[in-house]
Amino acid sequence: MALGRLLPKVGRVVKVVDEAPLVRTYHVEVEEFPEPSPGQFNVLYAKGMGEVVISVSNYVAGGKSVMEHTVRAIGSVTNYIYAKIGAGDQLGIRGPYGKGWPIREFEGYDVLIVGGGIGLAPLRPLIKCVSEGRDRYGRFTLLYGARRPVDMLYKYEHEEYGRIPDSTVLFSIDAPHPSWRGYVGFVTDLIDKVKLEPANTVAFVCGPEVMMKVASDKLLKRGLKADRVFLSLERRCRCGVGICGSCQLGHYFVCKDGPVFSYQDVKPYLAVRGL
Amino acid sequence: MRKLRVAVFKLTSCSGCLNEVIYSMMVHPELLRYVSISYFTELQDLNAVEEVDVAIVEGSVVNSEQEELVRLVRERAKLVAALGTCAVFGGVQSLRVGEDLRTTVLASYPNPDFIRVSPDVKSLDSVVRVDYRLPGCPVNGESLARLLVKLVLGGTETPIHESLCSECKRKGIPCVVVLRKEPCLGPVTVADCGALCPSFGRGCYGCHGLNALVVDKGRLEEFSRVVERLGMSRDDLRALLKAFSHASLSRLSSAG
Amino acid sequence: MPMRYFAGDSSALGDLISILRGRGLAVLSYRLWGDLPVFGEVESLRDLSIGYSDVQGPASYRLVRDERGFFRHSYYSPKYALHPPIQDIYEASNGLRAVPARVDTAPMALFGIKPCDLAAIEVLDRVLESDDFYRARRSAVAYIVVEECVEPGDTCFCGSTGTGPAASGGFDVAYARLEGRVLFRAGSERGLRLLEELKLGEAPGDLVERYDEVMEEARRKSSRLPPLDAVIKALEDSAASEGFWREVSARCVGCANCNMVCPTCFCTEFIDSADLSGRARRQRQWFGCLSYTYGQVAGMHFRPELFMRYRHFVLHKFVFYQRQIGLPGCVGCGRCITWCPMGIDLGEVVSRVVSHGSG
Repeated sequence: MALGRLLPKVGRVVKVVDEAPLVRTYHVEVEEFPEPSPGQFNVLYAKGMGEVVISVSNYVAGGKSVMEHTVRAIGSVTNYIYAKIGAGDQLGIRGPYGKGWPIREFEGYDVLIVGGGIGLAPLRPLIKCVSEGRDRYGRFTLLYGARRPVDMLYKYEHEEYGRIPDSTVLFSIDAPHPSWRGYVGFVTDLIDKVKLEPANTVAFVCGPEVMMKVASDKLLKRGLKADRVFLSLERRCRCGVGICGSCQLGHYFVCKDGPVFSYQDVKPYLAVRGL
Repeated sequence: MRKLRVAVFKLTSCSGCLNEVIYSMMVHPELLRYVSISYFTELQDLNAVEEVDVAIVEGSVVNSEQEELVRLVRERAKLVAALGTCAVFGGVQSLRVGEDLRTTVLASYPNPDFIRVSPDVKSLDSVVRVDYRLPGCPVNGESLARLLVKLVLGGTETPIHESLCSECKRKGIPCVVVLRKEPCLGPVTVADCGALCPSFGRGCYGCHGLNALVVDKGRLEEFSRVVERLGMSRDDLRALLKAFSHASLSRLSSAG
Repeated sequence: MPMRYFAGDSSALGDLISILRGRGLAVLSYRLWGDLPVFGEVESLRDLSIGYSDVQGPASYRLVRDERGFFRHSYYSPKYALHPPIQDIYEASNGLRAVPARVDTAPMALFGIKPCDLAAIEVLDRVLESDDFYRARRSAVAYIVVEECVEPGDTCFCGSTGTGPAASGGFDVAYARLEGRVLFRAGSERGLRLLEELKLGEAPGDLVERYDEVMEEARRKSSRLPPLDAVIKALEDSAASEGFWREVSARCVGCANCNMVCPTCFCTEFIDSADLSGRARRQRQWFGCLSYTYGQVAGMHFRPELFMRYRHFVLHKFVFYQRQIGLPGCVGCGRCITWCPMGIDLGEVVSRVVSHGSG
């Protein structure tokens, strides 16, 4: 009997990019790895230390595909990766897992992306998807906020985002900062500032859960339907394949049934604190 | 691999956990190749409080000299590990807290003039920031070895917080409470001792400390009633909790 | 085709064990180990816990010598054999090349497990469908022989959950011990062939009638919960009522004994270890949702308070399993009541939820 489901493949870190304080993007090269769709995640294994679930923030196809994983040093495994893993080092990798953003189902729609902090990571492949298939989607709006300017991810790409045709790209930070000329306040405030055609818009949201709830409720108020608002949720994900039971949210296994859910599907659960 | 610089300090304690440090290195002699010890008065003659990667501190803090030492240790150590129940919660000597200090000292020492202690018994983390807590009376040497290995490798343990009962059931150890009707503090005690006492058919006496992340005052009261029915007096339970969970007992929340 | 019943006496059970052992199977059953009710390999009739009764109550379990007694179960369940408490996943010594752990797949027979255990196995089969390790152990089970519960215990409520006291499917042979006689029936073709090998006679009509009566009485005795539909509805309605859940969980100390002894609780945590020679090992072990860490992530906690985890335990058993796998996750075995050191009665909690909802 094959017991390979939980076995990692050997990945090689080919590049490490400093994104923000305690946040780095690890480019991991691996052979014969299925192509992840936007919003899916991989499980990275640091030998002897443990695994951590990280969304794929970019994918470059090839004989050896390269996937980017943006990691914040916050727990025991991510701290280890941050401190010890550099270009040339190995990381175990398995995946891709979970249900990603249903971007293909919404061709022809206006696309609205709302990201908060490190929550931009799983949204990044969506931006690429819209940008590369520009004629397949309507108006593109990206709203991205972080605590401080320095906490923003993928700063080296922000100009490119702004050059996407027929788009609105707005950034926000939580508190005033001398270097900042953009909006100060919550990223969800920006929802009030953009033009939306609710009947023809699909929204993809990722950030802290409170922010996602506020964003979703605002979008509903602006006339979007709850089944056109998608969130990428975080829970304690361990196995990634729905067998360890850690990530349950109501009857969902976030790793297997998610991490991306329509707001309609999870709204009743998210409304109850600690469910 | 660069050696992990380790210093081991002893405050007020019985040294039983220091023995466990030594045992764990005897069981894992390979560790010695990867650690260098700059301070360990029980093990070597030359000791200096130097900059280290990890300071392991046994014992509770009971006077100002110890407070000063601990502050110095914290300054010079990247990581601080509280070793054993004395360092984590105060330990057995906490039993004297609230009693007349002079009477206690006179009852214990023939020459009390040399004893300089404050009325309170402090856990290490009430004086300085602590990175790792390894409770136990004595500490489980294997837990320490696991941590040291991971620190040598540049990582750390991923903490899992659960009560002793999980450990008993995973090992198939017959339940002391339900099968034997004997008092056992396992349900409210933090796991990772290896379920030593129940595996010998006796109740846990809580040496790994109260599971205070879960058990609040109300739940502790409910639990007290249960162990009382099983034959443990309130006074005995109070004494055990004071002896092994002093610090967390005094922080126990009433809501929850 | 009408159900065929066969009759024998206790020795037929011994013969059945011999036949199974003769096929190279390890026969696993409830058995006594000293004075402890464990689940392990049996070699003959003598090893079965026949002649003992388990007297169960909230936070109480006594084994009583009783010739006419009926043994139900203990803190052990077939889960220990199929989804072991601690399991190696892989080891990596040469860089990151991980070598999967070996799973013991020596063929086995589960013998004398109870209908609630059988129902629990069906739950695990579905919820761990894509778990290679579980499937490897599960597919090593060549036969399942169920002992039907002629006398439910005081903590049992399988009649309410519809998972007992009779076995309804997924077994090879079911038997019921009735006043010195043993009534057998087959649940599969393979089971029927086993029974034919035993060379038993057809059961007389009065024994079958007696069986029906006994099972009906047992069903009545084990149906102390409100109707399952009402329970599910009330639990759904109660979910957001923090005060109520704080109140019903006020005596819980979060020890997770309920999770550990529950035959359908399947959650695991991974444990990583390393040594200094470059070897790393990954294991998984049972982990209870009542434990503090359940729902915690680096930097925050999704179920920081115990009432939330307690609510998850109850809602999962009755509501969420139903939506996940189409079956209730509670099989009414009552283990969580017996082995809760605080004596919290899940049946009572569920009844309170129902009266809370209507009140």
